[in-house]
Formats: sequence, C-alpha cells, structure tokens
Amino acid sequence: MSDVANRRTAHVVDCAGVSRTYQEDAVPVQALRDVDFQFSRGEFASLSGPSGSGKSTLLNLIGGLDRADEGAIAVDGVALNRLSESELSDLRLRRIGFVFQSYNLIPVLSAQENVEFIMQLQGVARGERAEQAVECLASLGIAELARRRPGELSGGQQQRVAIARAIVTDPVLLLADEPSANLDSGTTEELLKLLRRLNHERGISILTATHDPMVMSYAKRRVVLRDGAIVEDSAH
Amino acid sequence: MAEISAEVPASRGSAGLRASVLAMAWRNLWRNPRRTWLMAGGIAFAIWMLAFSFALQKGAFDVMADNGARLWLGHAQVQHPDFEDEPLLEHLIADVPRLRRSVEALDGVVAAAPRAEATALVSAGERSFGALVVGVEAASEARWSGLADAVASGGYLDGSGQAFVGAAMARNLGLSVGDEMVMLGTAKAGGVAAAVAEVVGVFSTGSAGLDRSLALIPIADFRAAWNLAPEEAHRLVVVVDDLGEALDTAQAAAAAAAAPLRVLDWHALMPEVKQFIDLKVAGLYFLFAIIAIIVTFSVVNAFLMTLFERTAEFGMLKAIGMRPGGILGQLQFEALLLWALGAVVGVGVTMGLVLWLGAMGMPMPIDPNEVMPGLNMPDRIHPSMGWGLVLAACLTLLAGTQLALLAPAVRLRRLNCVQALRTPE
Repeated sequence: MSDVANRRTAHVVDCAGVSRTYQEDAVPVQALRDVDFQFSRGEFASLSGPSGSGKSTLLNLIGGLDRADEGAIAVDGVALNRLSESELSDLRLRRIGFVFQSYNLIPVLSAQENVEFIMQLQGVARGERAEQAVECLASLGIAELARRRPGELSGGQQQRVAIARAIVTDPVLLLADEPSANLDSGTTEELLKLLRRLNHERGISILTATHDPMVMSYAKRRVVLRDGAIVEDSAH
Repeated sequence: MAEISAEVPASRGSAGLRASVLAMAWRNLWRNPRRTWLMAGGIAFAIWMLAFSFALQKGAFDVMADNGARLWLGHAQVQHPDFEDEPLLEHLIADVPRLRRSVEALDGVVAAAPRAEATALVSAGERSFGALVVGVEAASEARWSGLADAVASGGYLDGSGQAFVGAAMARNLGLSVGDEMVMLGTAKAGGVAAAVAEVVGVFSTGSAGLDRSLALIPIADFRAAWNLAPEEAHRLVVVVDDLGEALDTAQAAAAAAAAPLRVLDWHALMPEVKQFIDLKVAGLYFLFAIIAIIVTFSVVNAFLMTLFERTAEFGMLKAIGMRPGGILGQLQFEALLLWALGAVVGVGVTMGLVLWLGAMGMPMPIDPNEVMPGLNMPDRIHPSMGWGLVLAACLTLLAGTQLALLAPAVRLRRLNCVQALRTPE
C-alpha cells in the first residue's frame, strides 16, 4: 500500500487490485473484481456499464463511502484503508466533492445556505463563507436563486446548487453519481457544459458514474465496467 | 494519517456551527407541523397533567395541614427535650415567657401560646373518666385555635374556674353547660392536684380523640392545681403565616432560648396527615413516571419515524463529511426545541388554570370530611403552584426526550451512506 500511497503527484485516484463483494439475501455478489484504476489530476472521466457492472460501487469506494474487501485505494495520496471512520469523514469533507443523482440538498436551507453549510463544517468564517457561496452560485449562473429553498427550484437548478456545494470547498476530486438521471436532455446538456467548464477553467478532476451517452460524450475519458471488471478504458 | 487529522477544522462543533444547526433544527421541526404539534402537545399535556394535579393536591394538602394545625396542635411546638417521648409533668419548659418573647419577635409568627397539661380523672356526679386536662391561655388561643370556633354549645373560656370540654366527654359524663366537673391528678412533686370547674362550653371537632378526651381550663388554674410555677409550661404552640416555614421558625426560636429544647413541626405533630400527604404524593410520582415513560416512547417513535423519513438526508450529510455525532447533535437540538415548545405550552396552560382556579376555588363534589373525618379536608380546593414539581416535570421530560434519541443514535452510527443515499426522499 505504501507504493500507492506515496504516488500522490500525478494520480488523484489510484486503485490497485480492488475487490468488493456484497451479500444480497445471504448470497455473495462480487461487485468489483481485482480492479486497477488510476485517475489523474484535471481529468474528466465517465464510469459506465450496465446496471450491476460495479460503476457506482467503484465510485463509492473512491469516495470513501464504502470500504474495499481487498486491494488498496488512495485519494490524493491518502490510503483510504488506513483511515478510521472519522478520518474518512474528514477526507470527504476536505478533499472530495459529491454530486448525487437526487441532488440531496437540505430541504430546510436556501440554496446559499446549502452551499455555506459544508463550509461551516470546515470551519470557514461567516463572512468568508457567505462571500464564497454567493460567488460560487454566481459562477454557476444561479446567483438569483440564492434565497430559494430546494423545493422552489427545478431539478436542473437543484443540481447546479448541488454542484456549487460540491466545488465551493475547492476539492481535489468531484464525484458525480448519475448526475443527469433525473434531468431532461436540455438540462443535462447545460449541466455537462458547466462541468466541462469547471474542468477546463478550474482544473477540477471529475469522475462520474453514468448510463447516459451524453455524459459519456462530454467526458474526455471513458471507462467501461462489466461484471465488476474494467473492460474498456479509452480517451477521446 | 497525520495529514488528514491535522486538517480537521478546529471549529467542528463551534458556536457558529451550533447556531446554524439549531436554526436548521427549528426549521426541521416545521417540516411536519402536525407531528411537531402532536409531540409538543404530548409533552405539554404530560407537564400540565403532572403540574396541575400536583397544584390541586398541594392546594388541598396545604389547607388540610393548615386547618389541622390551627385546630389544636399549631404549626410547630417547642417542648422540653423529653416531653414528646415521655410526657411527664416534670418535663417542663422552665422560662416560657422568655421563649415566647423570642418566638413572637420572629418574622412570620402569628401567635405563640403556652400550654400545660396532665392526665387526670374527670368526674361529674357518679361518673368518672380519664382525660387530658390542658391549661391554655384562653385569650391568646381564641385568636387562632379552631377549637374556639368548634363550639357545640355554650362558649369558649373567658375567665377563671371554667372548663371547655369535648362533646363525647360531656356526653359520657352527662355534662351540660353550667354543670360542674372535678379534676383529680398528681401534682408536681407528688402531691394531689385537684380542681373544680364549671363547664362553659362544649366543642365538637369531628375528631373522636379530641372530643372524647380533651378538657381545657385556664392555664393559671392549671398551674395552681398542679403546682407549677407561673413561668412553667409543657409546650409553646407556634402558629405561623407560612406552613413551609414552621420548622425553621420554631428552630430559630429554640436556638435563641438558653435551655436545650425540642422543636416539632406539623409533620411530627400530625403524622397521620403527613402520611396521608406522602401517600398521595407517592401516587403522583408513580403517575408521573408512567406519563413520562409514555411520552418518552412516543418521542422515540416519532424520532425513529424522522430517521426513517430522512434517511437519504442523513446519508448525504454523512457522505459530505458530517460526523454521526454532528447529525445526532442536530436531532438533539430538534428534541430540545420540541421539549421547549411543549414545556412553554404546558407550563403556560397550568399557570393560567392555577391562577384562575386559585382565585375562584374548585368545589369538591362531596364533603370530604364525611368520607375522611379528622383529616380537615377543605370543601373547596384552591390550587397552588408547586414550582419544584413543575421544574421536576419539565426536567424529567427533557431527560425523556433526550433519552428518546438513544435508539436513533444507534441507528445513525450504523447508517450506511451508500444504502441511505439510495433511499427515496
């Protein structure tokens, strides 16, 4: 693991021999089999494949939301299997941004408060927090929605707020799990343009699990999984 | 792993974050207003029920104890140290006037009256019965003693050579107002104590013990017949304006006296009343515990429902880096606010009712003294706030609502982010 952990310069994600088996109704299901995967800084890659291929599992393992049974994963040079639950929690807070399929905004907070909340967890001072949140929302073109609560926003607008929440802390890695699943094609395209812009302009490394061909077409690298193994890894 | 730990912000759990989580908790409460009002209503009802039932009981207990004390025994008594356990004629307070002066000088003392007493054979014509003959200072006792108001025939003592006797004693001896009775006993230092008195009044209290065995005569007559010095007495009966201060007041008086003395408050003087009240209070505490448990379980249920409904949200919070303790802290704030809401409503309603009924009085459906004679129950209850119990009720329910989070806390700690995020919102 030390080799993996020490290679923190080029690869923001480094997976070596990663396997993960679930128990479903007492039946073992191998979601990932001996996966090796490297993901460099500034990349925009899609993880695709049929349902049950292991793409979300891999994304969850990289995000520290789940633990591998075998193998090693390092994010930004930090070996995840050596971390306690609270250290994993801190790693997610400081270095990884998450965008979820269902947006998962806090319904009782306004868009700006949702973006500020993660900074509060990080201990950012109030004034700085508000300033950064407003700036971030403005950069995503939704400054005028700052005071609205999620229930008052469309799906696309909610996903933009979710992206703002994910990038406002300047993470080394943005993980998006089926970010377009609940959006129409027009909104999906707008969202993808936004992600591409963030990738180009801010150099944010973006890894997204998706079924959506449009998402795959926007990613610079396409990784295809089948039956828990990577079967294709191509740049375009 | 030092690098990650070092990045942990010092401000996790800071005042700013707590304020923000508190605001979130308040808003979360109103995501389901009906449930919030139901839970807060449950807490308010529990507080109201406990506080109001205690206020009602306290109002009745206070009057019962006060009536009992004012009937005969007083709120407190100062005695010779051995008199209560061994009521001998020789167990006297040597300098009652001095003690009385120091007692009457204390704040809250309404009256202080000396008494001397002895068992004697009381005779009228051919009939004789054993009785407790008590020498009292009639003018002083008439101002507060319920006996002076319990006249069945004739009147209260107002001069030398008179006797005021219980109705059962009068009946047993065949006495009527104007008849003479003879009292024979053992005087101080072993001589014969003998006195003759004219019955000027007969009292009826409803207490069989008092009505059957008590005969009052002026204390000067008693001292003369039983050979006591003018400054000697067996008890100094103290009446105060605040029942709760009786013991402290009498102890302060006894402390000021030169000789060692014993102080008894109404708890010791009327143990049957104290036991009755203690029994009722124990019943209330039992009721209190049952209600607190029911409310706690309803809050547990509501918070488990909350956890179930907001699984995806908690999964997201955990995923973005909020620790389970932080999420639990948010639920604790929600429980705290829920409790505060219930407590404000519960205490407010209780206060309003107690103030209103305290002024109006609540009539008893039946005469309680017919059901429980001798306990001096009032026929109208004026509820009185027992702030100690209100506080206890509020704090118990606060503890209950916070304890109710134990089950959600265990589930939160075990919450799997991946599964939680897949839960439909």
